[in-house]
Amino acid sequence: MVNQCLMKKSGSKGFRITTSISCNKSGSLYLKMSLDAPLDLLKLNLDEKVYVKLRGARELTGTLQAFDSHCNIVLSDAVESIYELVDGELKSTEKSSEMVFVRGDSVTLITAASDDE
Amino acid sequence: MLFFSFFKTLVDQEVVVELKNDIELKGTLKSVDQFLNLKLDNISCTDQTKYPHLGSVRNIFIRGSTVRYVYLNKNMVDINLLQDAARREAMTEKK
Amino acid sequence: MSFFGFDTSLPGTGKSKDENPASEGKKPLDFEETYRGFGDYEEEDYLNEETFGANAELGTDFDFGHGNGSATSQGTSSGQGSVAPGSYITSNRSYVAAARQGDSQPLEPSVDLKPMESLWSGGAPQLQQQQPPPPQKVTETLSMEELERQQRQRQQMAAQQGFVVPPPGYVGPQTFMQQPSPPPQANMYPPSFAAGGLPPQFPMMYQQGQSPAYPPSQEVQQQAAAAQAAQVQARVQAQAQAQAQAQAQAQAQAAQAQAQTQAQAVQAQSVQQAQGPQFPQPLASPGDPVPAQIQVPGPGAAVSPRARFSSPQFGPQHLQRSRAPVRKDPLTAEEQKRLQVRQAKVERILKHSGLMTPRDKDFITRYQLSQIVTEDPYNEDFYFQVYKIIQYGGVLGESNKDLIARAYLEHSGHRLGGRYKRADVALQRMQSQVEKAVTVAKERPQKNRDHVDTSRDGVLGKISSAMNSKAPRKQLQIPAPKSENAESAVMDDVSSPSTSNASKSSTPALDVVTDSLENVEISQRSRARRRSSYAFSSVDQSSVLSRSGGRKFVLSLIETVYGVVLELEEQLRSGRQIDNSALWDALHIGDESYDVCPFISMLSFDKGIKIMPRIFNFLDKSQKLKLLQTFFDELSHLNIIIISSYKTNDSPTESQLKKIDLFQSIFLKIIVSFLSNSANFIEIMGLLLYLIKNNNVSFISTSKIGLNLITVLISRAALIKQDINRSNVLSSPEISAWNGVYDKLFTSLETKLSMVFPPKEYMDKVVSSGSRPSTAVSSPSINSTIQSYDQAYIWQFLASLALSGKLNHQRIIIDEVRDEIFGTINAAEQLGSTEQDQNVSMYKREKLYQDLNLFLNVMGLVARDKEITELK
Repeated sequence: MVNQCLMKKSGSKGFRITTSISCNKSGSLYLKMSLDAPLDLLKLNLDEKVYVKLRGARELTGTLQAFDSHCNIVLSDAVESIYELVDGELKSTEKSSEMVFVRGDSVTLITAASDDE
Repeated sequence: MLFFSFFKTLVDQEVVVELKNDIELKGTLKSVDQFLNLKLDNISCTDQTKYPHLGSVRNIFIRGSTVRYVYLNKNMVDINLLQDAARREAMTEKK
Repeated sequence: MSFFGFDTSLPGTGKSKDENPASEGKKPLDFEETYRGFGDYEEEDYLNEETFGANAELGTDFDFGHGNGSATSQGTSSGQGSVAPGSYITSNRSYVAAARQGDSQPLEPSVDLKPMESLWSGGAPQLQQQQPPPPQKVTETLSMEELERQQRQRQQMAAQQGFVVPPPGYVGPQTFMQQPSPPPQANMYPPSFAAGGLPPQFPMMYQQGQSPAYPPSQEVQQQAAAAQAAQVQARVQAQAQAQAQAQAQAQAQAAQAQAQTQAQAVQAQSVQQAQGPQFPQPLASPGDPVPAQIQVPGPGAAVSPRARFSSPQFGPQHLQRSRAPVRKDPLTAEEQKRLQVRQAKVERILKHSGLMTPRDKDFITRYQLSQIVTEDPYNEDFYFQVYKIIQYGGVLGESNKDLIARAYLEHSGHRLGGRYKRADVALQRMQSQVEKAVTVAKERPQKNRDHVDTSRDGVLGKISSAMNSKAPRKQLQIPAPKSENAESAVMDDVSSPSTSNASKSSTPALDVVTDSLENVEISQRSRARRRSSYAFSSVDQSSVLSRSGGRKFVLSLIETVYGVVLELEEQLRSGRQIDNSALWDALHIGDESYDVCPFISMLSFDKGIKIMPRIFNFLDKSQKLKLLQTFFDELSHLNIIIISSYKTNDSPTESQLKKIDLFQSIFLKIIVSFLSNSANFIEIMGLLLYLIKNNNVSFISTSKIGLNLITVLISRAALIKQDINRSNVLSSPEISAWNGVYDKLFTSLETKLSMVFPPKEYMDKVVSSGSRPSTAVSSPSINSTIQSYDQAYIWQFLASLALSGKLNHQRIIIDEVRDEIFGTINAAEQLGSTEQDQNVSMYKREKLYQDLNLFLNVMGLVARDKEITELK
């Protein structure tokens, strides 16, 4: 029972985080640098602009200030975009905040922000 | 434990919590535990539409897993320290 | 918390004790109404699967504390003898399995929600019913003494039930942990917990596990009553008998109320098991399948097994005895009523009494303390601890805290009175350095004016040195720009300072400088670099990054550096020997495997800049010098130079301006303090040489940062030279070397000096894109509405350049920037006419004159009210 639990635990963790980061553009670099944990990629982007996809058609862009193994994160100068279908039309609303904590279980993907000035 | 530690520094500060069911609550953070359950005091609404049926509630316990966002002010956070804390956390987890 | 699979709505747990006889008719809690309807919110809780297993179907009547429940109920029907061993064996099952079985035999939820009612409410009607010789039903009219006695018994039992610190032979924790085989630390639980080394959920489970352990104390009474019948027997026998009795009771009750039987039998059974080893939890360990073995207490527990056992026996016995006189002497109705009121009061008071023993409280207190006090709070609670020191403690007496907080204190500028005042400190320092040098220089022209006066004539027009009413000022006669042939001829003479110096140099340090100068000059790579510096001066930082391994690579280098620095700071804190070789390696200084040194690329990122002061804490002087050599060597590749030059980035964004600010406030500050605290003249000269030899100086001078860097170097050198001049310490080879270096610098800037002024469009863009102009050098007091491009840094540069130069240098400088000088004077004079606010325009005007005069003062001039006059 416990063994099963533990396996599940690590298994689910690995799965979650791999999905979060596998969309990163440079898979080859990943091998080149021989990073041993997917979360290391998150660490690289500390204090850098990141793009975060969330459940419920939400996105966030902001500077990554902190993260943990559950993908809980803190972003500063974040802009959130929420996409909704209103009468069949895609509507997006934006909301910005200077500092926000994001609970990890809503996070589906984290990557470096594309438009790096 | 990073975020437990983080939220402990926010105790007695005013925060805005957005739940996964779109309820949004503003209040003074009174306590937090390692599951990031939160206790808020003196709650008020930021947006009437995101604040149903809570008009008479003054303090509230929030199960951590129902939280989507916690909005903070910049001056509540020491970002350099926080980044280092995140690095330390990542380092200890690797070991 | 469902996290631990603990359903608080269970029969036999906390909930039921709150209900007293008065609310007997109240509907039991309906799971559908209370919880299930909100299942949707739970679906995102990904820990649920980890906790319960993937496919476990949880019943609504999940029996947390009594995992062997279903087995016992089977035993109820099959017979007494076989029950006990069987139940022990099945007790190894997981809760999930138990819950699954429990599902197939659901207990009727409406029944027996109040199994301990008698215990908690004071009256004992149910207890009486269950005893083999059914006694008369007593009313709730108990005397005070009886109540107190009951209370005492209850507390005694609670104390036993809640036995917190297990004996050394304790084998129980796996029942809490839901683990088939306890890991070693499970047995170590109490001591290691005291040391604070436990995973946090460990004690939490313990706490959780305790609450179901309390309610069964009622069954202890049952059990005790049963054991009473078999009083004198040996304990093992008594246990067996007790089980038999309990089963008999259960069966007898089954005749009366079928459903109730099951639940109570389950509880009775579990309590029997619990009693043996004296654990709150009923389940036996897999290693001890035989009840008799379990009953053998551990060495520590052997102290008073008898006492513990006899105490519950004593309880009901005594209860019956003392009750007898009450019944013999019936109370009047009035008395009864009074007693009832009294009892109700006492009940209220005692409702939660004894819920926790002092040991429980102690346990929880220690647990709570362990959350606060750990062996290494900086490790486990790093952010909180350091944050508190920074916010409130300042620097406390403890040197450890001092050390760990220092990096952040300095960094966040708290020592300077708040993090918002930290900016521009470096620039202020640079400015004061220049001003100091100018002040020293001002004194010189006064002394030997004769030499100076004539030569200055004609550069800025005719300047009247004696102003009075009899000799009114002449209008400025601006001569046509002179050709610089004469000066460049002088330059040619000293254009190869390395060779001339090498022969003259007398000190080894000077040799190093000149040697390195030669090496750099010869290096093929550096020439290629210098040629290409324009080609790669694109704003797109990826082009530079790609030449030092790519963005990800540089980021990973930075993170490695952070890791090493954090470790070094930890070593410093714990007083260990510090070895910075790992840090030095991580910096990749002198790494030739990439076109651009990775260290330079690290400075392209904010976090790479931010870590620099902390890196400097761990470097020795020669390492710092090497680092700065590399820095000046490859300045053209520095992203910040490219960003801050109007040639390569004619419309800087707000974030870029912030980056420039950050660089100034952090890295420039490091350089300034290194130069003024530890670097000697030769080293400064060396750094300047690196800058000149390998970079396109005229390009660097178009960037604000580049100009600042040059200013810092030459103004510091000028200061040292002036100081040393007084005491005549500077040797002649040093002076000639300096002259050579300066001439080299001047040659590369000559004819391009006016280019250090950015075009007007650029200045306007900078002003508009930065809400707080990054260009403000020192303007904390200015009204924020004033937004004009601050050229102070340019005048500082020109002042420093003029300071170190000879007369002919100064003349060239003035010649080249003459338009800017008069432009500035014109701008200052126009301010009064256009600006509405008199104070603002006055301030602006003063500022413009002040900046300009910093430069003019070097040559003994001063600009005031449209006029340039001799400095007095």
